[in-house]
Order: sequence, then structure tokens, then C-alpha cells
Amino acid sequence: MDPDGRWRNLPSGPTLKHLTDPLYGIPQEQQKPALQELTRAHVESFNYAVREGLSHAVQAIPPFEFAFKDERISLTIVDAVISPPTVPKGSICKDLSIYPAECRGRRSTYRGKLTADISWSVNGIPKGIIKQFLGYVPIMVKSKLCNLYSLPPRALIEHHEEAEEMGGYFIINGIEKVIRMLIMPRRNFPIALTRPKWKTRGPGYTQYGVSMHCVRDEHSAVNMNLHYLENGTVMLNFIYRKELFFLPLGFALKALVSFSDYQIFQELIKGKEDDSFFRNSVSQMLRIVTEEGCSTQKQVLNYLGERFRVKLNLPDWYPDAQAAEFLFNQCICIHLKSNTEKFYVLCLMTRKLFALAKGECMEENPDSLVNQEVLTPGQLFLMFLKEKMEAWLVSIKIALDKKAQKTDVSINTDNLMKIFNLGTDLTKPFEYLLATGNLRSKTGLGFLQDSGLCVVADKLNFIRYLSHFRCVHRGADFAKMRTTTVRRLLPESWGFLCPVHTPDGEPCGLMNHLTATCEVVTQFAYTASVPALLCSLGVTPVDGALHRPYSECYPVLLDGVMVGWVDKELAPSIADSLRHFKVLREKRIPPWMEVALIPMTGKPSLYPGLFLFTTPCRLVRPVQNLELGREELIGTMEQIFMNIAIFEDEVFAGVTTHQELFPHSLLSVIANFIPFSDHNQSPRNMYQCQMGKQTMGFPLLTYRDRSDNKLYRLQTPQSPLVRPYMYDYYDMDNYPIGTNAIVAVISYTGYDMEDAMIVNKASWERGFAHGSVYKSEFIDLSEKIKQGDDSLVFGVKPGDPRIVQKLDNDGLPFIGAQLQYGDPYYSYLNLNTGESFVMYYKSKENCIVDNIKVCSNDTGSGKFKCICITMRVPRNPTIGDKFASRHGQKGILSRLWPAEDMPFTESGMVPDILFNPHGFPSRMTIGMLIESMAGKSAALHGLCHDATPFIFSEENSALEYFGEMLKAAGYNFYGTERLYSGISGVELEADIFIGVVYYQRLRHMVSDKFQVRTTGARDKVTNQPIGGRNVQGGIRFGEMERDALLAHGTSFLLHDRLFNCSDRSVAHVCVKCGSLLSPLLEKPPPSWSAMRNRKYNCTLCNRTDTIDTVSVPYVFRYFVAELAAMNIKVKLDVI
Amino acid sequence: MIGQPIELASTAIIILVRCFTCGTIICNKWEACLGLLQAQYIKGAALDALGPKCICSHCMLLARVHLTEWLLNYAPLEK
Repeated sequence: MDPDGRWRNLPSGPTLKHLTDPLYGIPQEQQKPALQELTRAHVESFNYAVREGLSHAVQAIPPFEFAFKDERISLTIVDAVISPPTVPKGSICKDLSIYPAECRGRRSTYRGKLTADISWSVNGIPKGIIKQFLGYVPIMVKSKLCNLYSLPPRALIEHHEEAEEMGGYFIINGIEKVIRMLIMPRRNFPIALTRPKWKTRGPGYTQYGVSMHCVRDEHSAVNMNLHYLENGTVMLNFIYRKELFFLPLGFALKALVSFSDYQIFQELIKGKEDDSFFRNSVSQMLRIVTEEGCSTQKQVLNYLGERFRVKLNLPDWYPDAQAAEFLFNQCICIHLKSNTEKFYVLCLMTRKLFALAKGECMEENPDSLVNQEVLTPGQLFLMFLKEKMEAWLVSIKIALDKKAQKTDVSINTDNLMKIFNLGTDLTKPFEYLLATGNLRSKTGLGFLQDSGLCVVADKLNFIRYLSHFRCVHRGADFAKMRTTTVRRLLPESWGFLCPVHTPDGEPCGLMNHLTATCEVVTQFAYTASVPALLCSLGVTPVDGALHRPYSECYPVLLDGVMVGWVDKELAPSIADSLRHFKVLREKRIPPWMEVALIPMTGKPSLYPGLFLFTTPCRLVRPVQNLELGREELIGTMEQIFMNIAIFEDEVFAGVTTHQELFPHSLLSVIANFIPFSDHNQSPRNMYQCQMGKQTMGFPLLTYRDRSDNKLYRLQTPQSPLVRPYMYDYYDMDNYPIGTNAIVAVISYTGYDMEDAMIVNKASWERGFAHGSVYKSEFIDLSEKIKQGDDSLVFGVKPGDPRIVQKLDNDGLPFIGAQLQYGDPYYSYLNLNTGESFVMYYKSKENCIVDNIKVCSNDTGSGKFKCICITMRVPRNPTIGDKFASRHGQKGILSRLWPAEDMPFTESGMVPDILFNPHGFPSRMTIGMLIESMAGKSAALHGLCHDATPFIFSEENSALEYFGEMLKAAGYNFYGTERLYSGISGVELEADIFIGVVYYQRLRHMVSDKFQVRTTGARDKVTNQPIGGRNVQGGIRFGEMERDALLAHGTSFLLHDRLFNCSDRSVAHVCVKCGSLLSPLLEKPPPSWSAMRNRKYNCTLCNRTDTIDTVSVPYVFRYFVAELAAMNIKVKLDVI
Repeated sequence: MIGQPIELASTAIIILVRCFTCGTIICNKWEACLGLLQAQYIKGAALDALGPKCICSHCMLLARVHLTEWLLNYAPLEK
């Protein structure tokens, strides 16, 4: 992590580098750091997880002990290693390693082997170590375990990857999956909360509490709460295996340390020595413990162990005290190693709780970014891995018991190895987690949600793709919440979360995106030297003697460890010197450390203290430290106590300490791509952030190697002539998403009403905005066989009349062949029977066979039975397709207007797009107007303009700048031109605003959406027309539509739509008894009979002359039958 | 020439023949335009001097993205 320099050498403006650079198109020695930076939180957290994290996790798994035939067996995982993805030895291949492109093309999973060293002992005597394969785990692309790790662009291209591949995702069954970043409570920091719901937790409970999300180095997390009770005592609350436990605080404190009651009392009342109520409450808490007969630590431990061991599932031979210690290890302040540290932190939390309950400090907002961090993919991966390894140990015991029931098993290495192979494989759970995003876990891993953890990283276009890696979700549970407080945009998130880039509608404010500069800390820091440094700066250690009363001192916390106390006057200078060390990287202070000094104000404000954080998963961002002239990474909690200027003129000497790197540092990567976004009404920018992600573009260079279900491609993409320099910084020219169009703002023909737009037919004919869709179908013949028989292969029967010249001899269509509905698609043979089968192309849309990949299995020994056919569907713009400019101005193509009838300028130019002027006044997208002028001047002068927000202002206006430029080229200052009517040739009275705007084609196309039906399939039960586009169904004519027809009095139409055209049927009814069910057709007469007319006979009345026919909806007859099944008779009065 | 690698000039480009908007033939102007651009000499007048005088054709020349150059790295002729 290098905080310096990354944002130093920003391009001064966009350039035409894609044209002028002689190196364009030649892979460089190294990848561009800008793009790699986007997925770094993903990749590096995974790197940590599979190396250091894995070994921490293995150490943290307690030895699994169980009794087997009067012997105490203990299994410990000593070490675990994940290997890079390879195929098994002996496969038919040149290179054993697997590369991601193969997994994508073949729709397999990119995974590595997990092997663990398991040591086993009997009755405490170590018997040896067994190396055991535990299963395959998915590997993140471009992580240290990936075979692409640190490959240069040229090598990446050789392995069929993008030159700037950024990784950060997993490949599960060929689909790229990203683990979502989720908002979590800030780890190891006591948060003061008031929750009215807590009052219902039991008698005496109040809404006050202090909560701490304790996280260990290997990321396993436990939530811990302190509750304030009405009588002044405190309850400690924690969760073990999804069960809630409450414990009076006195017990916990006494169990942790062997201090005397007086010492504990002294520690708790620090800072409030004179408060008699508080003194009473504390002594009351300690008294409760003594009343239970526990006066020493030993007694308390025994007392707790005895009560808790039922729930802990520990072996019988564990003494009670050890059980209690196990409980404290697993549940209470698990981020701390020593019990004394835990004791001091619990005391701090208690003091904070009392301050909160007495109104001396404010509650903290759990929805604010100040008290939050993110869950990184590596963290989830590691937590899941750890839990599954623990579950594997348990599964060994079950397997052993099962085997012992059948046969007599003796415990030796050979038998154990056999048993190990029966343990539950880790492959399935991991693939399930990543494929579905659902978490199947016993402990819940301390999360609130168990679904939606992973999303598909679709490559619809590059912008959408990269936004998956910058997305931070608040959590699925909050989506259901009625209140909107969680969605609110808080000032604290300035610079960390983009205010613009959040979807509108349901997930608004819950799904946010990191700003371009925001980073996630992924490293752990070595902090052992920090306490000593703090003491040398003037911090008094926790057990030291202070010269001042505690009420005038700040507690000092480092990553949730109580380090000591510091004098009120001294604290700011300590914070300053820490910041100094951090920026200059002195004294081993990591640059990503957060130094938050929450000051005493004398009023009820945030609980004061000096809080230091070095933990990973926090959000940090770089700002300029004015004093030191260097970039500094600041965290969310320290930011609220800092004075950061944006522009130079906002810097006040002695007050302002920091300055933003650039004024648009509050925007996300995607919001940064909006030109002149500071001139637009803000919701329009939000819409553009959404629409940019639905644009057809050129998402990747490796179309040939991919088997995605659907890929979009714009045939002739262009680079925008007006763009913010961030567009160049991220090299978006490699993945362009639109075309420059000549846009005239004119109301013409009436086909441009209500956001419709007219496109010049001649431009369209020359290829304007043409695109195609690549659809891939994966055909595996082994899925077509019912049982084991492995005899199906692709091929044709010679001389098969069904496929004359349409299929090649291998049974596959020719590459480049046009397919239409009903054409032979592929054919296969059954080698045993010699039968041949032909499958036909079943889509109504014509397509061209683009590419066929023949796939095999892992070992390369599979038969010719697995292929992937990629088809290209041409999708040229048609009426009804959706387009948008980059300013949230979307429109539907309403007409391809002949060029000769379009308005033209004095030079004879005919615009590509006619945009209705009514789209501007209410939407106020001035940015689009400026873009139009800027684009025009760029084209005239052969430039490309910088459209970065906040470079123009009232004084230095954009209109002035671009107007003068247009004037210099001989055009109107305001960007208007005289236009002539295309129909009459008469000069139009008004000047028409005309210029160049970058237009995007959105993926919503009529060809995917239109639905027509004349006659067709009907529902089996009701006989009504079925719904659904893919089955040629109808569109529901619902109640509200029916109401409309009734209100209009159009009864004939109503009858026609809902009856005649729906499920009209003619039924027989008995007039006398009124039953629809009783009339039955008579038995057929004997063949010799002259009677040919069979009559209906009412089985109830036994008469034939009472039968009449009526037209009823078929569904009514069904209804009558259903009522009859419920023993309800329906009688019709037939008149 | 079967079996022999086809030599591709490093400047292999694919450019549209005509301007979308006005239909002016621009493909023959491309190399001259590129020369001017690389000589940092490109100004509006230079573009005009090449032939196309309208903003639409200027756009086509200036905004073209040569993805083919990247795509050629992927050895399309590889068997």
C-alpha cells in the first residue's frame, strides 16, 4: 500500500492518445495500476485469507476431542494449504495448471485443492500427522493462488485474458461471481446504542446498551452487548451458536481476573469517583456474585462452567473451570488474548454504558459510516473455510461412530485415513455458497443475513462490470425495514461513499458505491511496538498511577485494547505526533492507522477517548496533509474531527489541516465519467449512473473464448470527444460504450413527443449504433441419457434426409451459417443402437453461428459429447429501442426518418438524432447542453475537451469558454444554427441548437420484449389463454382493465374480450334440476341400431328432454366441479 | 498461401468507409489524418484541409477507437 503518488500524476486532461500513441494496441510491460486498484480490496483480502489468515484460522480451531471406546481421541488441524488450480496428474495436456479462460469457456469451476495436516492423539499421546485432502475450494482470479498472478499483459493475452484483467472474482460453473462487500459494525470498538426493543429482553431492562463487534485476526466475529438495567446493574449478553445468553457483569469480571472486589470496584468507578449512585450500583453488582457463594475467581469459573457446559458440547472429562474458560475464549471480547485485557475493556464499556444511561454521553449512530467497516470477500471466505473445517472434524467422529456400529474398528493410522476420506467434502458447500450466495452455516458467522452474499459480475459493459467491485451493500435485512433512516445519506460518508451512485427505487441508499479514491485496508499491522511508543509520548499504562483525576483523562484504545490513560491537555499533541509518524512512516506506525481523538466538550457528546485503529476492513481515503505536504490516508472516524478544505481559498491557517486531492473526490468511478455533472440536476446524475450500467458497449476483447449466456456488443463504438480526464485515467477507451451523434434539439414531425427521438435513416443505414448479441448454448449429451449409458456422441447418419447440407459431418452447424426457426441445429448418434437424433433451432429470432467450442472433462479423456455453440444475433436499432445520452436523458427510437425529409443546416448537414426541446426545462440537464457545444467545438478544432466537474464556475463559465471556441470556428456563440425544413425546404424561424453528444445504446430492445398473440396455447385446467412471452402467450386483461370497459359501457367489447376470445365453451345443463354436472351422453347404441343420434341424459332426473345447452366460461365448469368436490351444489336457473 | 502465416502490418486498421451522418468517404483520409495527429499538428484547419469539412466527419476521424489493434493480439489465426 503506497499512499503517495497514486493520485499524483493524473492526466491534466483527456487526450487523443488512442489515435496518436504509437504504442496503442501493443501490450505493455506492466498492467495499468489504476484499474488494478479497483479490485484490490477483493484480491488482497483473499491473498491474506489463503496465506496468513488460513494459518491463523487453523490455529484458532480448537482440538476436537471425543471419546471412542473409553479412549480420548483428539484431532487437531496443524496446517492447511490451498494449491493453485491444476488438473489431476496423468491428464492429457501440456500444462497441468488450469487458467481461468478455460473454466469460463468450459463452464467449470476455477478451484484449488485444500489439504490439511491433521495430527491425532489418543489419551493425550500424539500418534502422528496425516495429510488429508479436504476438498476443492474456489480460487479468486489474479490472487496469489491464481495461475495468472502477476503475469504481464502479453502473457495474459496468451492465456486468453484481457490485457488489463483485474481479477477479484471467482469462476463457478463458468460464471464470474463476486462476493459482495457488506457493511459491518466497526470491529473492536464499543458503540453506545439505545434500542427501545431491548426493554422487552426481560424485567428491568432499559433501552441503553453498549455493543461491541469483536473480531479476531482470522476474522471470526462475535457480537457482545452490555445492557443497562433499571436497578443500575449491568448484564452481559452474547451469542453462541445462534443462541442468546445473558450473564451478570459481576460474574464475567470476577471470572476474568483474580483481583479483589475492591480493585474491581476501583477500576469500574474510574472517572466517577464521586457519584454515589454509581458506586452503589457497582457494589451491588459485585454483591450479587458473592451472594451466589462465589468469592474467588476459581469459584466463579466453576459456577459458570457448571451452568454453561450443557450448551458447549465439551467432552465429559473437562473440568467446570476449563469449560468456563472455553466460554470466555469463544464469546467474550474474543479479539483480546489475555483475560486482563478483556477485563479492562469490559470496565471501559461499563463506564461508557453508565455515561450513556445517565445522559452524560450521546448514543452513536449505527447507520453512520463512522461506526462501520466493510466485510471483504477474503474475510467471508476465511470465516466459511474455518467453519467448514471445524464441521469436517465433527463429521469424522460421526463417520467413525457409524463404522464402529457395523464393524470393529481399531484406531490406527490406516483406519483413520480411511475414515478421513468419509468426512464431508468441502467442495460442495463452497460452490453452493458462491453459486447461490446463500450461507448455510451453523453459527451464521455473526452475520445478520444468510442470502445475497454473492452476485454475478456481468460483463454487459465494462462500467457495469467494474461497479460490482466498488459496490458496498448495507445488508439484505435493511431492505425490508420500513424506516428510511438507514438509507439516509449522512455527511459522515463524504469522500467514502458516492452520493450520486446509488440506484433509485427499492435498494436506494442501501447499495452504495465507494468513491474512486476510497480504499479498503486489507493488511494487518504490527502493533506490538505501539503501546511502548504511546507510553513514551506520555500515556499512563492502565495499571499505572495517574497524577490527574481520571475524569480529566482520556482512555486510550488501540484496536480495542485498553492501553492506558492520557492527560486531557496532552492528548491533542499525542494525536498530532501519531499523525506525524503515520504520514512520514516513522516508528513503525502504519500509514493506514486511524487516529481519532474524540474530545471532551463538557456537554453530552460522543464518549471521549483517544481511539487508534490499525485493523483491516476499514474504509480509508487519501487527502493532502497541508502541514507535511504529503498524502495521508484518513479513516471514517477521524474524518469528522478534521478540517478538510476542498479548494485553495477555503484553507484557513491554523484551522484547516487537510485538503482534498481534487474537488471531485466525492464521486465514484462511474459518477466521475459523467461530463459536466456539476451542471446537472442531481437526480439526473443518479439516473446516468444507472443507465451507464445498462449500456451496450464493447465489454471485452475475448469474445471467442467466452461462453456467457448473453453478451452484448456495439459494432462501431467511439470514444467521446468530451470527457472527464478520469475517463482517460481508467483507460476506458479500451472498452467504449457509445457513439458520438449529431443531435439537433428540435421539435419536428411529432414523432419526438414524450422522450421519443428520431434517428436519421441514412445514418442508420451506414451503421449508426449497430450492435449484436452473442448467445451461447452449452450442450452436454451426457445430460440427455437417463442411465449410465455413455454412448451418445455428436455426428450425423450419412444420408439423413433431415439435415441435407445444413449440418457438417460432425453433427454441428457450419460456422457462419444462418439459422432460422426450424433449421437443424445439431445432431447426435447413439453408438449402441445406431439411432440418430436431430435437434432443431427453436428460437424465432434469426441468428448466425459465430463460434463452436468442443469441451471435454478435467482429465481430457471425455468423448465428443459436450459443446458450446455461440450464436450472434444482429440487433440493429429498430423502432422501440432505447438510447440515452450521458445525462440521464433516455429516449425511445420512434421513427427512422428518411434523410431527405430531415431538417438540414446551411452547410447541408443532416443531424443523426432529433431530440425534443421539452426534455430540457423540467430536467435541467445543462450538462448535456454544454456537452453538445463542447462536442461541436472539439470536432471543429480537432480536440477533445475535458468535462471534469467543478472546473468551470460562475466567473469562468463553460458557456463563455465553448461559445468563444465556436465563434472562433465561425459558428454561432450559443451553439445554434439556421436549419431548413426537410419537407418544404423553408428556413425554420427559430435557430436550432445543434451539436455533438455522446449517445449510448441501452440493452433494452424491443426484440427481447415484444409480445403478440392471435391464437395459441391455452391453459389445461381453465382453458384460458396462457401468459408468458416465451410461450407465445397473451398479456393479462386484468380487473382494472375490465373496470375501464365497464365504466365505458362497452359491453360488447367486454363480452368479446373476456368471454368469446378467452374460454367460451358450450355446456349441457338440465333445465329441471339446474345441474351442469348431471347431463351425460348416452351409451352408444348397438351397431345394428338405426338410431345414430346420441342424446344427453340427466342422471339425476333420468330424463333427456330437459337438457339444454348454454355458453359458459370453461373456467366456470371447472369451478362447479371443484365446488362439487367440496359437497356444494350449484344450481343454474335456466330460463 | 495456405500454411504460411499472413503478415499483418502493424498499422492494420479497420475504419468505417463513410461518415454515418453525411456519407462523406473518410476511409481514404484516415492515414493522412493519423499522420497529422501524430505530428501533434492537428487543428481544425488541418482536418478541413484533408477534405471533410463537416463536424460529423471530423467526429468520425477523431473518435474512432481502434479495437482491432487490440483484437489482433489475440492471434485470430492461431489453430
